Amino acid sequence: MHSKNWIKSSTIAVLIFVVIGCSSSKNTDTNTNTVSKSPADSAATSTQTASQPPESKKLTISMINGSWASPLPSPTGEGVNMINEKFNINLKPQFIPYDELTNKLPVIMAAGDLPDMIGMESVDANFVKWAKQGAFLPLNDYIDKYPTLKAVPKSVWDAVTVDGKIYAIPQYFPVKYGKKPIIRKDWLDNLGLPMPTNYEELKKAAIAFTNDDPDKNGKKDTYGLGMGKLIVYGGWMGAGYDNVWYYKNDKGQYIPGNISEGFKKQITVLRDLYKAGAINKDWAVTKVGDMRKDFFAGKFGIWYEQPYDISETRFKDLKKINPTAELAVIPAFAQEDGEQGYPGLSGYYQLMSLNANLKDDPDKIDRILQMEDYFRTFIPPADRNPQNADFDWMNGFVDKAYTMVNGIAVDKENVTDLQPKSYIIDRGWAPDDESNEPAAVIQDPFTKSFIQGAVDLLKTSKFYLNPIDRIHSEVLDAKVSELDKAVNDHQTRMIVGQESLDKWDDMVQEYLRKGGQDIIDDVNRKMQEAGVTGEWK
Amino acid sequence: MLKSRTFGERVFDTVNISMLAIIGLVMFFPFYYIVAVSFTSYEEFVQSDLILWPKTWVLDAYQFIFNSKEFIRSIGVTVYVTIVGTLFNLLMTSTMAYSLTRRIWGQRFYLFLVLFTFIFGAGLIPTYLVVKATGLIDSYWSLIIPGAISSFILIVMRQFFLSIPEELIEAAYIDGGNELQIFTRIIVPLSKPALAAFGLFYAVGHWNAYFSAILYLNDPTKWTVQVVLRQIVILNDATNTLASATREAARSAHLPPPETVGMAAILLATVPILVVYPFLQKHFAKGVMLGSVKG
Repeated sequence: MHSKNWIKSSTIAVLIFVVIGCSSSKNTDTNTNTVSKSPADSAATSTQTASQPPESKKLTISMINGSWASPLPSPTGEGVNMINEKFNINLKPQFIPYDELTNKLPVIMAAGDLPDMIGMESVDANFVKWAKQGAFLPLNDYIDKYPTLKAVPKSVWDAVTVDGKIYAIPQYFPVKYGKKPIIRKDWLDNLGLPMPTNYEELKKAAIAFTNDDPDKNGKKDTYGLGMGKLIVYGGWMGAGYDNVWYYKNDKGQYIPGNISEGFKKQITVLRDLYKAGAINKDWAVTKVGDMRKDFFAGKFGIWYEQPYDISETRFKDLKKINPTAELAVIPAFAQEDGEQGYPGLSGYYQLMSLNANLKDDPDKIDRILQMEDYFRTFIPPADRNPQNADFDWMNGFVDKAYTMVNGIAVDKENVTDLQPKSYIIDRGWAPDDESNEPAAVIQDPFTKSFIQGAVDLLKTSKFYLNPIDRIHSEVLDAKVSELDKAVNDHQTRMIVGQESLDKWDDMVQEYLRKGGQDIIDDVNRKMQEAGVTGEWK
Repeated sequence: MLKSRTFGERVFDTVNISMLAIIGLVMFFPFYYIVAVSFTSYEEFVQSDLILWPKTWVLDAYQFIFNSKEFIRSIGVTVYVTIVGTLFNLLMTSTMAYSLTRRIWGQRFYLFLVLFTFIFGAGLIPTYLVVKATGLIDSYWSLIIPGAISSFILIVMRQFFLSIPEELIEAAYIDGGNELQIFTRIIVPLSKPALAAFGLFYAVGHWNAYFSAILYLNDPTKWTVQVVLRQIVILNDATNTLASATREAARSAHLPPPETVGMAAILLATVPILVVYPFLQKHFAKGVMLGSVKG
């Protein structure tokens, strides 16, 4: 029939339209599509020019990485051109917010679309799985060739080692400068109280902050300790009271911190403080971000901050609201076992893996590691100025992307794309934590003095290296979050008085019964195999 | 009439109206709060518990947003994808829906295919592979073509077309019209309410496009407004987990923009699609009902 033909031909027309639509966008895409070019392809292009010396070969290097920065650097920014010119490469970078990277990586991994360089925020279950499946290039043989890789301590290499093979380059982060408990020193002085050295004194100070008008404004509008939901940050006054694998059970196995006697002590103190009204009533449903806001608005006296990598804005806000404010880190409390110190951080943040397919392309591996090594080279704060050619280049040149203010380099606005350092993210591997001189890069005098005080205090402190950071346990990855949540629920109820602290042992037994003992067994076995123990540094 | 109501009825009405008013206010309050905070200075926001009426109205947050090219560009991308995508959706859906109302060869088979995708999805990775194989990665078309036809809307639209009297179409044949002319001159004009309603469904979907943008677009400058909005708003909350201590410490470096900016961004990302509603609302309610009766 006539009509039938029409339907047929119009269906064909629609199909043709779709095909044209697809293919035309395909054409416009060919340029950008090289981002997802597989290493094998790019290896082929590089072998075409194999007769030339290695450095003169232009290599295409693709990279995927996460970031918390906003805006994210554009893949065609000026910074990329600078890197391309310096290393004679054609860099194809791709950035994604970290929380979405964890969703996108499995997809491109399954699609076989993995770039040459793969960045991740930290070692997680997926990293270990992919490493075991052979997605990443083992780097053991390359480490000694590059000074900044040689500088990485074993405790950090352990974190990125799976079955004896190193599968990623960890980026520097100081061990000492994590979140530490801080206290309003001016409030202590107003009330004539000493700096707390144990939980009794801490309790006394927090209750006095609540009842005795520490800011002398004649109103009862302050309280002792601020806390957010999930008991963040709680009252962690040292490694023995924190959620780290520190204590051992009667079989000599390390156990997780949140079921230890030290942690119980902390929960007991929090319960007493809550009862006395020295903790915000609504803590169990409050976001940490909101609590931070309240601390810097001068509403309570004990909180957590770090002396490294912070913004001055909040500190300036506090000084504006409370001109007499003084902040100090509370030194770690002496523990029953005679030790005293805070838990150290894992010693790295962010890692970069190489695609396993690169193994037949030594030139490319070398070029990537050269580039990493260059960006990882530590520049002391005193040299971070235009006179240092490397610093000037990495930051996109003085007066173009940054300016010098009182001897400190300050980025201009909207310069992300202009700076090579936005693309190859690295902090520079510092010889020791103090070399970072965190106070030296800060302008605001109040922030500067807080940081300097904290750095001086932490310089002589001891730090406990959490052994869990250095091994990988699938049992732990599979079970721990659910178990931790149950423990956290119990402890939340204990703090607000809905559950008696006498139930602590029941809680621990429940934890062990539901899979906690399996975790402990597996973790301790892995620690023994790797020769890892919890150590003070 | 009013006077003849009993005391009981009046009490009922009063209670009823006040309850509805309270519920309405509860719904309205978050919007109002967002507006109020977006015009508040950060200092005031930090110091007060609840902002109902800013003491001083400032435009800092809006200045911040309009100074960053990113937000404006992403709004532009979203507007483009929404307009082009919706038109493409309507073209694809209506032509297929109409052809499935005609007695054509294999009609039942095609309907089965549509129903099949209605019930079973392909999953993330196969879809990604198809998008990649068709060369759509990093192209705006990757946000449009994979979802060009929603099987649900196709089925409802087909039911709507079926409700148009067959006599009308036959009359057009007798007047010498061909299928294309019948579709464009008879079917489409008669289906304007349905097209408006389904267009709005599609448009809201495009406006809210988020994960597909992250997945298929490698270049952040091509991202839609929802991705950028999320970066502004969610970062405020990023440390709110028991994540590892190092991550916690390292993330402190990325101070999110103040909450007031987040509120302003929410407002700017919501208002454009919100103003479309009143113009189409009439059709919207009608269109959803249509078709279901005849089904």
